[in-house]
Amino acid sequence: MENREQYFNRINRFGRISFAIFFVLIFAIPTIVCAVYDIFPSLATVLKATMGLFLILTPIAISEIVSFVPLLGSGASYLTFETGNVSNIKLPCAMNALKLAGVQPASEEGEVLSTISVAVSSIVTTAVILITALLLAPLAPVFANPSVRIATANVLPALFGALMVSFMTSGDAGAVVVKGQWKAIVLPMLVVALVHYLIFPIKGWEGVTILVLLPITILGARFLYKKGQIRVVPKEPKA
Amino acid sequence: MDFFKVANGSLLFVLVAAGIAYVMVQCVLFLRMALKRGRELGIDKKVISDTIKSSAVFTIAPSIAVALGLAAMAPSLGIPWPWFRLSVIGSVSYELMAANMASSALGFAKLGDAAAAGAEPLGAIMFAMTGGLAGAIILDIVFIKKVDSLAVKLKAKAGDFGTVAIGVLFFAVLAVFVVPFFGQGLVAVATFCTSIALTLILAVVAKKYRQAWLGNFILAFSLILSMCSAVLWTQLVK
Repeated sequence: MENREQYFNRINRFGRISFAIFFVLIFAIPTIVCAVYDIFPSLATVLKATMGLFLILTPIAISEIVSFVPLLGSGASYLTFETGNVSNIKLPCAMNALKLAGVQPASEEGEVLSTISVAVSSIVTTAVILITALLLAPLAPVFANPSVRIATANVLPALFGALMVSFMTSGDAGAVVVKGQWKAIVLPMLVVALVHYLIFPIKGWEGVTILVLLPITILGARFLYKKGQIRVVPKEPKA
Repeated sequence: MDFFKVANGSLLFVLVAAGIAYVMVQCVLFLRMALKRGRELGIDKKVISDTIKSSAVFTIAPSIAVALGLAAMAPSLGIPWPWFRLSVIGSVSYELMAANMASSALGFAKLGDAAAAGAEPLGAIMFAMTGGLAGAIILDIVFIKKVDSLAVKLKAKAGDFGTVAIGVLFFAVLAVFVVPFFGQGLVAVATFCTSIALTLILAVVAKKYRQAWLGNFILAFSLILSMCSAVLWTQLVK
């Protein structure tokens, strides 16, 4: 059996190589299409159109790597960033899986379960989108239905309400339980409320805000831990 | 050449299908590696099977929102390119914005206007949407291993507090997404509160009636039911 480091190195080697091939592949698609149909844009046009997106998406990527990789682990991170829909599907899905299993992120078990969760989630999302692509014409009336539009427009409040409860009510962390963990959410929520409602709306700046909020959240938790408001206790055996 | 002859052409369909197939193979290989590692670590088979089931069921409802993104993008960009972007790498919240930004940089007032100018803008839009993510992909390849390794080391070094710190990291994500709901109108707030109430109710039901299976699907059921409740709240707010 491999030790933790060997598995870690192997999954990262596989992730890096397969992600690098993917990088080539995503550029190959527009290149082949443009070559076959002779519609290559000029380099200046491409740079002009790319620059704005590059400047927005790169800082978001930095914040996602710093914020989400410690939660997901390496294997799930490669898959998550490659298959997209990070904060609305993959991250909540993996976090829910770890919560249900009573396993912490940044642990060997956490790495395994989050990889399984994200792989399954990616396959399901791809299947749903494939079915939609194939049935786009017959499904058009369903997508145009106002009720479907309202329901899907509210997916984030519905998702994060449920997630918030499951994360605040359980401090299950493998062999131990973190008591009073919910108190650590008060400070980041106050900071976000202050910034969002009194200084500037954070819409479009979520990635940067998470990045700034991470040390604040950890320092707040450290303070509560030192004061005995958050405690780590051994898990009581089930009756 | 007509924009949609290329955008809905068989060549793009084939290339996109090949790209998605590559990522699916990768998912299966990662899944195999993780399952094998799970067996080596002695993780209970039931835990693995519950993880697979709950992840699959949980994913369906938010995937429908992504599928709706495909329906929204297809009239402007054809089917295969949005299909590719939403299946891999893209996010439903960024893709439409990315396509609009690219077409706007090309001088078109609306994404739909690009189609009227022939097939040339399609190449530029596809390159721009891909190139915009180039920095992100390179950063992912370089830094995922380093950040993960650092997190594991810091957690171990910090002892009990390491457990607390990792546990509260997700609170930063929750705070950033949850707080703005309160400024998005009554329907968003009511949906959010409904989701909280349903999750609590389902958790109590699962515990009281010893329905262990239900515990794995609480998030999925709460998500679907509270999305449906948004329709009711919208009617009541009118």
